[in-house]
Amino acid sequence: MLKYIGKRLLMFIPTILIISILIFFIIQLPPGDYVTSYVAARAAEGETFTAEQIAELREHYGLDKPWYVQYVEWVGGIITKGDFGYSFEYGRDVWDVIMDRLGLTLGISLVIMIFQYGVSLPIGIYCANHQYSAGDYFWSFIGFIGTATPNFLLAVIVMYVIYLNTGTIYLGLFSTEMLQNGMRPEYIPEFLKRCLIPILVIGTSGTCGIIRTVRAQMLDEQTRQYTLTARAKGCSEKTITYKYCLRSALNPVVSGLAGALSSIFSGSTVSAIVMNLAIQGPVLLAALKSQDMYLAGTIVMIQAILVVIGTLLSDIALAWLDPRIRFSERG
Amino acid sequence: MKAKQFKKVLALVLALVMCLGVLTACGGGGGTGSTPPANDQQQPSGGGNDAPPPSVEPVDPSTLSGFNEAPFIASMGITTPVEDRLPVKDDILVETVMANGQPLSIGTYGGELKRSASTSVWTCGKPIEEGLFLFNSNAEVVPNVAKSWEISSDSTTYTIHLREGLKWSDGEPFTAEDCVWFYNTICLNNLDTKGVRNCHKDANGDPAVVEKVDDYTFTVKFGTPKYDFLETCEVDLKWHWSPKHVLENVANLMVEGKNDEALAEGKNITGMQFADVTALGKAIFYNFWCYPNIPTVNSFVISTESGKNDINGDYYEFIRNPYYWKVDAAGNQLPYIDKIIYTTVQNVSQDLMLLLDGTVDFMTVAMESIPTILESQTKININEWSGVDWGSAPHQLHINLNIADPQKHELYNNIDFRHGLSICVNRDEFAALASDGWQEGGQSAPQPGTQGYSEEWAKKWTEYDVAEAQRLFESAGLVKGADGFYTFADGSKFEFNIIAMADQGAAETYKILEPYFRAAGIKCTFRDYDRSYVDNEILSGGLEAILYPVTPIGDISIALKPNSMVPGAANNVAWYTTMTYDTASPELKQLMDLKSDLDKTADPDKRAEIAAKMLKLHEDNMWTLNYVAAAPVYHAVNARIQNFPDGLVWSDIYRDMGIAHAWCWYIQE
Repeated sequence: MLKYIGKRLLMFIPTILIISILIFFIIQLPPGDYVTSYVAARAAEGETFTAEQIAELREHYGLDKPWYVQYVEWVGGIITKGDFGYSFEYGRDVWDVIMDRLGLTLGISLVIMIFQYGVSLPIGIYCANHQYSAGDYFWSFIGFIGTATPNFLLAVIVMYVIYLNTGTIYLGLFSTEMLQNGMRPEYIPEFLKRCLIPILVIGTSGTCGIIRTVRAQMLDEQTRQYTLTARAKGCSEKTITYKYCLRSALNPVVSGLAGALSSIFSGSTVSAIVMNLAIQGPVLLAALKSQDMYLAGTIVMIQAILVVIGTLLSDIALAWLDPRIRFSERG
Repeated sequence: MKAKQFKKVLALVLALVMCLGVLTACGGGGGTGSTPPANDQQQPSGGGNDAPPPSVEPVDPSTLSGFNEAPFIASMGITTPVEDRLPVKDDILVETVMANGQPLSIGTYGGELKRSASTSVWTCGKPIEEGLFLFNSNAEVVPNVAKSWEISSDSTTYTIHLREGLKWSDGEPFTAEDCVWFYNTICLNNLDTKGVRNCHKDANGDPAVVEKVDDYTFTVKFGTPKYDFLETCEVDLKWHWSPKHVLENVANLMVEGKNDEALAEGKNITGMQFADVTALGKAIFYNFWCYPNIPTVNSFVISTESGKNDINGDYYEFIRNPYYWKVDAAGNQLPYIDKIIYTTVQNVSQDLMLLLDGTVDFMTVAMESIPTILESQTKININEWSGVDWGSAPHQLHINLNIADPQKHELYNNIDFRHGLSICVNRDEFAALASDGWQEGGQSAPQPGTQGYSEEWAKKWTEYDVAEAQRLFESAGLVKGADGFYTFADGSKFEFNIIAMADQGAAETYKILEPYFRAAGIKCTFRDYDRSYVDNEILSGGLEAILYPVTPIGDISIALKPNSMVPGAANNVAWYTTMTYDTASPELKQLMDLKSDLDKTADPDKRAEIAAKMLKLHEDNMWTLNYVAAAPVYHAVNARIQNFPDGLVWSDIYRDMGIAHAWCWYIQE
């Protein structure tokens, strides 16, 4: 097992290097660079630039060098100094910009993930145990709706309905008062209300997949011989469901955690924009659009690293969860 | 149906506004300071307000019996009496009228002006910006931080008089030294990344000499006569100062090349980390209003409190300047409002939602949003301003007259080709389809109420006539091929390649436009691209034609801001891209010659004459085309905001919202 983990960790280094080159190359691909978009955005507001000033800016940001030179300098900075570069747009270190939003992003994403698993696992089990019942159809329908409706649309609908009924638009997690005065105990109810919308909207999108997976796996396991044997030996249905079937049924769900780690870091993007959530996703989108390449590059690279780590973790979790995987590894 | 209903409502609202205007109307507005020099403008006026402004006598500050201050000042820990925070009595600026000449109501203190913001420095800067001078709504320079000025008879020396006793927002005296130091240290050393602006260059391009005469007077001397320093200073520079008492040390370190120490000092002052000295310099000397602890003379100053002072953050606020130097006619120190608060949104379209629920107090809105706004539960007023774009900006068609391809260069510079392109479109039908019935057909011509407007020009080449268009195409040298599409005379294929920025709606416009071009025999292609690609195409001159150009043509004055109208004046204008004098057509050479004549002409009448000639050249040659008349600029303003002016012109020269003088607004719930 340790050897296996060690091997995987060694593979980590070339994987990340290749990913980082790809990321940097792709971010550089669109025509123009940060200076182009910066000058254009400022010019639209009336600020003027001479051709010399534009050339100076480009030289200043190092954008006049070929992309591979920029890449080597960037990666060199990360390895030697832990310096992820400088965000042109924010005028600050990339790491600071990321850290600014990390707490909220992790918080929201984790709550959403807990919501997704907390809601869909019991429903999946219920649907499997009550196959083709009215309850099964009802929950499957709700799950499908959640998946089939784009999150951003759902967000707009929910916000509009709330606006019609209350005259207030719940945009963002914090009201102006909260931002002004900081968090106070009296604001907590409103904060929770504001949290509910993104959790429901983003959370429902993932539930259907999990519900269907758990349901199918559970149904599959329930007809296996070991289940029949357990039942024949007089095991209670509860033990059969939760101790035996569920454990096997969780394998694909646990594999899905690999990607979850990365999405927890960035949070959702389009929905976050619609609901005005100050999390990582919109920052990444804006950075890609304005070609703020060190910021975009760093976020995408961290996501990639998290996918790699997530895969490793989910493999380890699977090995722990499923003895068959452990044994085959030994064999 | 909806559009008709709305038009009725709008007509009623306008009628009501006019009636109110007539009821209170007569005479002209007032001002303080010396008479500004006559300038070359044809006196553009606001769009929606034809009634003459009522007479408001200027108030002599020395006649004011006393001064009042906002209760909020006490909570700021300010103990100096208001009289000691204002300039000497004679030099206080008394605000009596809005920029449109309408009288200001005496307001009440307090409240917060709520805005949503992107991270743009200008969004929060322009409404509170103070210049050495200001423009009134007739594009005339009026006193502001400078109370008066003299110009030498040969127009080489400008003597500027400042307001005695005016103070920075930290209470330190604001003197000529701050103005002179700014030019000599910041501009001449390019510490603010903008260096010496055009307003400070003489006809040979040499920088002016700026010298202090006494604490409240300084001179700007040019090597050759400079006729438009006042106007161009307001256009190119606006402010002419930096707080020497705070920034002298950091500036010296930058000049000496001690970058690390300069960065440390910058952080020490603002509490913010800058990546390098260029970023630091641009921040503290150019975008200074966005950085905490840098004193300004603006009406509002960014908070110094952490969590409220970063314009890249989710929330930030500007707080009243206790040393602000303007008062109302009753002696109340301005501004009335205590704070301008900004809540950042991830997407600009959310502004409208926030406006509807009262979380945002004002914003500029599209015509289509107005019915929604009028139906909202919050009471919101719609104020109509004029824009400066020639026709509707989203429907402007710019053809690159400097295209490299020799055949296309010749064709596009042929007036008949452009004429044909203009009249082969059925404008009424096109405008109705392209604007969902909101706008009417039009041409690339100045809007009513702005410089150069004539009905003739607005209607030029708007008659729909396909047969005539085809005749014009042939006269421009095109030949109809067997497939019904025009080719060049040598039989080589002609394709009219139009591009646009993605997500601006140009793709839909093209879908409506293309059938007209096709019917007339012009084969077109269209692609929309990411903005940076389009910008690159313009900067490199590679672009062929563009719908909804990045920089639409049109501005308050061709003399003051020729950028979009005269080749070479800017680098992001699609119809002339990289054109130089050598690559210009004879007519465009004439336009460029007139511009250099203008730069050498002192006499206001002659300048006006030249400006008119330049516009006439545009009218005669129609270098840009448009198919839809411009829509007015609508500002949706929460009804609780008072003293918000109607009928002005939205222009960068007027600093967009800046001309609405936010320091005079007050809140009445």
